Amino acid sequence: MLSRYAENVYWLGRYVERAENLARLLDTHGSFARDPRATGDWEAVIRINADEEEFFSRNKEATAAAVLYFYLIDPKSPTSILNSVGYARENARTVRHLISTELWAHLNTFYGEMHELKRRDIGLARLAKVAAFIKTSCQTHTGIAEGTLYRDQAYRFYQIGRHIERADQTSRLLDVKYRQLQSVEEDPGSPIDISQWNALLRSAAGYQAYRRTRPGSMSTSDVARFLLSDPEFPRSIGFCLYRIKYDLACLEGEHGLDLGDTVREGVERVMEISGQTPTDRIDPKWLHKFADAIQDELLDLGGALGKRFFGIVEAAE
Amino acid sequence: MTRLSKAVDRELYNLGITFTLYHEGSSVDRVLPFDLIPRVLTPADWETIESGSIQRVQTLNLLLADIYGPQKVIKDGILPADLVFKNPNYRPEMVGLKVRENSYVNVCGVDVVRGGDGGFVVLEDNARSPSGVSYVVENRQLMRRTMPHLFEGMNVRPVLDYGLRLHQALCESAPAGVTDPQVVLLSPGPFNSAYFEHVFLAREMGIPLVTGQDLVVENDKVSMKTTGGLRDVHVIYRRINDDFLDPEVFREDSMLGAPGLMRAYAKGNVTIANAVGTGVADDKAVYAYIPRLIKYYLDQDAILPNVPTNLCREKDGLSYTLDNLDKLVTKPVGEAGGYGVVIGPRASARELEATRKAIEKEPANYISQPMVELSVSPTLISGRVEPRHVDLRPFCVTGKSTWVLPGGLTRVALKKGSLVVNSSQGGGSKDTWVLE
Repeated sequence: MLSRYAENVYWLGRYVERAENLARLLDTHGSFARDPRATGDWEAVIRINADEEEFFSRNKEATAAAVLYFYLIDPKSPTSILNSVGYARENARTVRHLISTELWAHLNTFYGEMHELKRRDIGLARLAKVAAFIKTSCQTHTGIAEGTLYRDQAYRFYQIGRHIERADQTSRLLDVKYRQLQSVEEDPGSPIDISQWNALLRSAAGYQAYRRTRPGSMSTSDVARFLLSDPEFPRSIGFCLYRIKYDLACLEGEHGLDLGDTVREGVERVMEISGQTPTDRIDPKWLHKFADAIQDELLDLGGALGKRFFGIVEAAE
Repeated sequence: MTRLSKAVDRELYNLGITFTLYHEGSSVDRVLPFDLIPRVLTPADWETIESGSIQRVQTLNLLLADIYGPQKVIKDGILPADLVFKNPNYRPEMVGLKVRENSYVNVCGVDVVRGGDGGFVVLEDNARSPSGVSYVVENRQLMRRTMPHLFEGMNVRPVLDYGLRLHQALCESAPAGVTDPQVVLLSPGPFNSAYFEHVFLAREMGIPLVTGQDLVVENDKVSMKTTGGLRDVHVIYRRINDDFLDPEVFREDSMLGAPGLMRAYAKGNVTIANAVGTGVADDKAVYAYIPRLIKYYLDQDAILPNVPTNLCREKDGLSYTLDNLDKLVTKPVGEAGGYGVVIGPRASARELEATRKAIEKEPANYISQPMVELSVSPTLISGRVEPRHVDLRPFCVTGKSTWVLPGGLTRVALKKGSLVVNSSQGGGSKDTWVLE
């Protein structure tokens, strides 16, 4: 497969996943802080995405309205969902002959619908609705991909992109929420506490699975551990890393690609970090450092994939 | 029908079957408007168009082999030397370069219209990278989905095998000795207005769509960068102009081609389709000589005649043109896409004056032709069926022999009375039916 295509499908997977996760994050945040005047709260979303500079270059204050506009439909914000879907569409357009017409047509329509959203559609009061629309659209995309993508190298790179992004986003979601939630753990069982943990788990669509596998426990550490390393939960970081390893093994085994040392070591390193999750109480400071380390290693892994498969291939090979 | 028509527009947009219009620095994705009423050609009409198109393609290929070979046509005084050598699309790099099967023009679009007497005439030949074939196939599929009952009992000749036929012709043109050639489509990339068509063709042929950055030339051989390393490339169906193919030979600033490509081409290690330098044969001035060239090379009369053409480069042609500007259609020689065309009887006095100045300044750059009354075809306009002018572009695919896609692209001028069918200027398209 052409190197450039591998890169395009990888980013296709990443951008759709990014859009879905950002919708989840905004939705959760919205349900945590219904008060539109709670400005400090919305700054946290900007911080975890490291968008302070971009955001404050055009906004004085991180109000709910400003942050939602910035992340949902701001055409000037490189990280807005509108742009993520747009970049996904551009990548899909480039590899259109590799993907099904249905996958393309859906993404094209999705982008059109995102484009039609106006400020009045995305206020805090309508956030749940618009987030549900974005999540459903991303999941429709995933479903069409699952049902129609040919299982060649392109599919593997697509999955790798998706899971690198998902692991990264889950680490961000946990990091920001954990610090807020820790402060109320001193008063376990209070109504607000439970409802917020519910919201966090629900934002990752993990509430039912968590309840079923850990009946009776609602400690912050257990919830964090679930999202960090549960081997069966498809949005946990641990799960995503196993999936990346699996798809790389398929590229090697089924498609005869040599992964090379940097890619192989990159995967091992990030899995090693992920394996160090404490079995007892999880400290917010530890979690923050952990999230940073995971994000750095995923960045390196993405870079290694770029050099190995998307970039210039030496003639001798 | 209006309801169906709206559904079709929506579908076209959702599928991204669009072209990009550049206007004053901004770009917009537009759907090429599709008219639901098919244009029907009888077997006899088609027989004329098909055999006439094949005759022209054969002539163009013989002409190119001659121009870049023995140059007999010039020595025999049939074609003026300066029309060839001063033509900006003449490529001295091609002199003496062997082209497999002498098939320079692998894909040719012959623009045909039906005149006032009902006969077909050729407006121009497109021997560089004619576009539009994707619409022919997509239009047919749209029709079949939208009005399947319409096809019942009608023996409409199929168009869906275009990709297979083109791939076969390209394989036939591969460098000698290559048994299982790797064909690629070279595109300028997603920002090109015809990118949708490039994707379509790559998909229909099952070949990689590459851009210049995917190609590497080493030891005069072309390969492409893949996840598993470099892979040989034998045939390049290119949809970029000569100018951009190889910065070592043509435009130095080109980012679209591959440095060294022409070296590999000259060594016979790769086939470029259409061949480099075909633009010298589809020039609007050379066009005027095509009937004489058909006689010269094939000893036949043109099955599809030309529109009588006055060359402003010639004294008589110039004075006749300037005397009859208000009755003639004038065209700049080097332009495509209908740009710069002035239709005398419909132009304002000011437009005519501007045209006169432009022609006087650079006469060799202009030709003129009498008004051709384009035939009309019933067309759905705001819920009513009205006559609108149409043209036809059949597509000729040439490897060892020439095959013509039965039908071709019918473009329709949607503006009342308009004769300009170009998509960039308010044209639409129709499904074209050739009956068995």
